[in-house]
Amino acid sequence: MPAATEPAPHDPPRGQADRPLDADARRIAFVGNPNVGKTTLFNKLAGLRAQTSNFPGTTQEARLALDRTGTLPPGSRFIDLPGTYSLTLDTGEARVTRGTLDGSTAPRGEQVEAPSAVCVVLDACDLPRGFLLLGEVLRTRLPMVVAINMVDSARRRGIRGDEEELARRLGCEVVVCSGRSGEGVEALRAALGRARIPIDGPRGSQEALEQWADELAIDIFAAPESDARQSLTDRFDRAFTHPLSGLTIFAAVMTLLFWSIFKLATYPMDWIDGAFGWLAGAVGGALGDGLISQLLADGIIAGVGATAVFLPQIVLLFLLIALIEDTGYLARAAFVMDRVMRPFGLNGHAFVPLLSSHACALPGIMACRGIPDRRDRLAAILVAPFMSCTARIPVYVLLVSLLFPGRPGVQALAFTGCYAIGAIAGLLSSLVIRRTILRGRSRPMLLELPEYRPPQLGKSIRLALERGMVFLKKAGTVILAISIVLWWLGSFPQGSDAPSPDAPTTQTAPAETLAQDAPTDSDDIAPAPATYLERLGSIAQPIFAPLGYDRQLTVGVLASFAAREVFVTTMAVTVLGDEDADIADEGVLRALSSADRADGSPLFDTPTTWSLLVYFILAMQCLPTLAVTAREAGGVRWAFVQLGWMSGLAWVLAAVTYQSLSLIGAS
Amino acid sequence: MPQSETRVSTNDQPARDAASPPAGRRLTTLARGHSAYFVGVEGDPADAASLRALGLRPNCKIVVRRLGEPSIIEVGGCCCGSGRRLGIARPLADRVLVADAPLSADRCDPA
Repeated sequence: MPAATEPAPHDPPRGQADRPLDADARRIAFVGNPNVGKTTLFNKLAGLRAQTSNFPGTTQEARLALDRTGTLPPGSRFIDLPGTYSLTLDTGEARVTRGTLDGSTAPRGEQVEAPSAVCVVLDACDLPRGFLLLGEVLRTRLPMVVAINMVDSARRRGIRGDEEELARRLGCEVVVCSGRSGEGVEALRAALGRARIPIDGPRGSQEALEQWADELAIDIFAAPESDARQSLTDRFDRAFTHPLSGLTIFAAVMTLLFWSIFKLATYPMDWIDGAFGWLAGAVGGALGDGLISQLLADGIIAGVGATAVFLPQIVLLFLLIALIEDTGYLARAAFVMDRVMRPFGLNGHAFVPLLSSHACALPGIMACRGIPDRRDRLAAILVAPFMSCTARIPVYVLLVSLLFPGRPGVQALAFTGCYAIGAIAGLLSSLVIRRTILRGRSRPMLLELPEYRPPQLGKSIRLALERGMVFLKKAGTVILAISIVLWWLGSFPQGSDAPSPDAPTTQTAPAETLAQDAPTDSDDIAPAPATYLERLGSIAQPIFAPLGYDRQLTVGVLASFAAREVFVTTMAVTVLGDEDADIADEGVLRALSSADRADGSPLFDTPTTWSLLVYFILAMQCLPTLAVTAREAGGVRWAFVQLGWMSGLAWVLAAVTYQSLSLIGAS
Repeated sequence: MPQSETRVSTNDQPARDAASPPAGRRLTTLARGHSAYFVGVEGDPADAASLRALGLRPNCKIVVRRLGEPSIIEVGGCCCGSGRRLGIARPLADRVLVADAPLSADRCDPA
């Protein structure tokens, strides 16, 4: 194949094709089906300078990059849009792609206007698959270049495409390239600088578009017949989708994944923890004992540090998931899970949204738009927040570390168990939902199974680092703000007659008393709380007393409704707020593990810690998730159903856990 | 484009006349490793649209790679792509109709 093919001369529609585009900086949108190597190609063009940006009001993301090679006019930008099979589908990916091309939306930071050119990326091994989308983009009448990607792979497999004929039929440049090897990438960049409006697209109905795509496929594409003989891919597929071996492999992969996260992330976590501890000590030492010093050391540094310490685990989680997805295994795992999920009223289409919910429930719930059946979709939306998101990781790490100190193997197992409990609770909840408010059977699953291939480390690392940056930004903004507010609530009013936060108070009655007479009558025993935070905790504490939570833990649970990870921050600020030396010398995690209640008993005794773990696995502790549920499910009532069911279940099971362990004398 | 590639068929049966398209039979009646030509899908039109969005259109040759839950088919050859694999849950695979020979001679398998 030649590196680039010039189009045959054609009549430029409406006289726009001859309009010179070099005068202005270009905004070039990249469009393509999933699994066509679009992002790899984009990375090759953009280098290491891409940034991730979401579309307003959605969790759909685009990647943005400036061209700095000088090939394109200064200020020219690339926009990598999400992969979609068609512009007309009712999915988030299709909506933002459609909106970007018609100029009605744009990623944050970008001007809301139609791009000056579109690069349609096709898979050289499977050109016909992209022709529907190609025809739809043609209808937009935007300047266009077609990139036939992964041409090296197509050559190896003896697949041929007539790109000259394609260029002639479309009236735009067609470039063959490989994002992996870099072949043709500079030719593509140059072609994008010459992008021109192609021929008028296929008009009429969807059938007319399909017929156009079919005819194009017949005329320009040829591939050898599929070999009916058994191949290595068949053997892998059989092993990965087999009822027994498939499930065993899936369980092993997930356990290895979480073990790796725990084992490998330990060292950078210690460094970050130590660095924040040192910083808090240094600031405290330099500024002396004053309000500003307390704000910086106890509020900002301790609060942000307590969350930022989990950055290595989050980056590692995304890295490993990206690597696994890149191999092609994840789609097979979806079918393994389809078999598991279908009896519970969910299907395999929900697997990827639910897996995404392990990163964050928001994109997971948004991804549910891709589930064709309404009842299947609603069921998946309602149970998605049961999946353990990254916001829970700091809480899990803290509580699991407290339960099994110095035993990384057991910690990894417990960590996997947390994820398993969340997933099982989600499945059982779906079963209840499908037998009550959403009766009916789920739709059968249909999914493309990508080719097995070695993962691309560079691409995965880039993705993981971008996700890490998003997390850091959150730590630097939302968490920072919450840390300051919590510090203020925990430190004021000052100079009153009320006792200090460390004054002995008895927030919870002994376990044996609680088992019989919850809630506690703590306020009859304890003096009036000193700070606003303690007052809030006092009001709500009786509700959580059967779960074993004292005033401080109640405050942590309440504060974490804004964002789950805030629980750790809250504990760091409220429990360790007056213990600069501990933060500096021992680190936040270790200092928390030795914290006591006002009555001198351990704050995190065994029944309470287990109870907290159960509560945080199951409870709906995320305001943004409720907002997205209301929007995606089509009504606030669904958000209330989600909140009531999840938090009610969490309260009951956490109470059962605490009371049971207290009864058998666990300490 | 080498025309010989588009004309080659590994199917055991010769292409039928376009005027009398073969009756479809169920995908799940094929044995593993056997091939056939996609005809359509019974039942919900949304399933047909989903298959179309994934590139499976009438006359595409498919090879059964796995039967059961899930069924795995390979769509490939000629103008239908090359070796793209689709996983299909058993309830849907039961409703997919295939033919032993191409439906017409003017598509992928010109006679």
